[in-house]
Amino acid sequence: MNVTTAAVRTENLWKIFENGDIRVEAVRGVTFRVEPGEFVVLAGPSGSGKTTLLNMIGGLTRPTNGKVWVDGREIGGLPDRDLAELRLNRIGFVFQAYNLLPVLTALENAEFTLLLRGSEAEERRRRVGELFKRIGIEGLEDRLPGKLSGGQQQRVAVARAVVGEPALVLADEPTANLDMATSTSLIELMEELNRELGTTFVFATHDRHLMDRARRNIRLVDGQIVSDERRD
Amino acid sequence: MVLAKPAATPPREIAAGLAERLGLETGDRFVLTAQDASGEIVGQMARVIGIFRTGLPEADEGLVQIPLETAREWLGVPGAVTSVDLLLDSSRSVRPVLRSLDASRAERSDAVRAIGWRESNPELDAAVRMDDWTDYVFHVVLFAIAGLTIINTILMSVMQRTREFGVMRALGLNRGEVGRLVFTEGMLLTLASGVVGMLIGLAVVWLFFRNGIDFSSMMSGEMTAAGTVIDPVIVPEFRLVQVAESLLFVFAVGTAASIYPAWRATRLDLAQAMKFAE
Repeated sequence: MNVTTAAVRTENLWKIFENGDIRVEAVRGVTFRVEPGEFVVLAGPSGSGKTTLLNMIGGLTRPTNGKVWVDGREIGGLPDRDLAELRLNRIGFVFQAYNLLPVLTALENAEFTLLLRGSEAEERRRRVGELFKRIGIEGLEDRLPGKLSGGQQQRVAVARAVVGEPALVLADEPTANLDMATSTSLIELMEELNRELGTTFVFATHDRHLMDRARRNIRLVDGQIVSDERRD
Repeated sequence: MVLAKPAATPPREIAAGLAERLGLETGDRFVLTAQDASGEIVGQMARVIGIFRTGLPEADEGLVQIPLETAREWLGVPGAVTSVDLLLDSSRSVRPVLRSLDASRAERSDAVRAIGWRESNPELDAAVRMDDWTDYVFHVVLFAIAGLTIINTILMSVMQRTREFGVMRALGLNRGEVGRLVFTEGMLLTLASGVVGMLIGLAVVWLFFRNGIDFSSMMSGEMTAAGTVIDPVIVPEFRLVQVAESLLFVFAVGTAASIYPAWRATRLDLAQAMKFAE
């Protein structure tokens, strides 16, 4: 398969954190690829490097060594401005702590990336409205994040991640703060978006339930891939 | 000294200290003695028609006020004056009036010389300049505190919202845009606080001190400086240019104070900012 067609590709990726005498090799020579439309979990114990790997794929942290391609584009050497543009147009993020902007309403949070892209207000409202209806949070548009439950906040975060129809959604422990029912519902929502929109999802998670639902599990231990299982 | 203000009647008012020293009361007669224009010692009988107090001990100990015409006649200098004091509405009018008088004097080749209060009373001038410098230093300290407070406020805002800025970066804002956002916030915060602070200040002064702050109860006698009696009631004065200058200065301080927090915001480690790292 051609390099440029992969949603994500890494080659001998390393991330080393150094602080004085302390040196931590968080990711050690990871090479893998994710095809467009995949629903992949990066699993592993705490400190295994899965979040650092996710950060490098998302351009939030630069690799110490090796290369990362996202949507066919090598991002390791991209200047900050281009990385920001890539994140804006091609990547959606879902965080464990939701990370909604506290002073913005649910609707304003969800439409944030569209706003940055310069979409018209009417178009933004329409797309967010449709998405909110689809993911079951219709009617919560005007609420501030503080007035939403954890599950509702994470749904708004998912809406924010997918509203711009990115090629790739990176989700770091998206279900960690949710109860089982909410977690299941959220996973089903992301599966649905993955199926219907063809969006590639890459998760970093401990959640057994999410691992069981993923069609592919990449297991990391001590910064290295120890297994890569696919489920049809 | 002859005062330019002519009296309606031929009074001879005498200062309180002098009256006390000479044992004079209203209605008493006394003799004024002086050297006239030709150098002769001449006397002038006078009657006390009133006793006044200036508040200045040196004036109250030796001042007698007599009608101008009486003085001219007594000293044999008809139509003459030794000095003319002009009381202007504002000290800011002194320079233009002096310029005008100088121009007029040059046209007439007049020997009369016009001087401002600073020249005629250098001690008072020095005292006022000292007060101005104290005021200047006070303002520098005040604005330094204001500047540090603004820096602190904006910096705290950046630090408390580290995750928020991190999220914005992750969602697609670049470093420059986040920096501009923080800088703009700092500027708006400064402008808003400057205007609100100014309005509160004006309102407080207008409500409680528009008739002045009376310091007379805090002192036993008159408040004097460099031979001048100072009104114990300090009345606040607002000038538009002063308000504009203060706002401009606050805005300049805010601008300078916003630069560092904005720079800090551009340097955020994204993964750390969002606690996205393991």
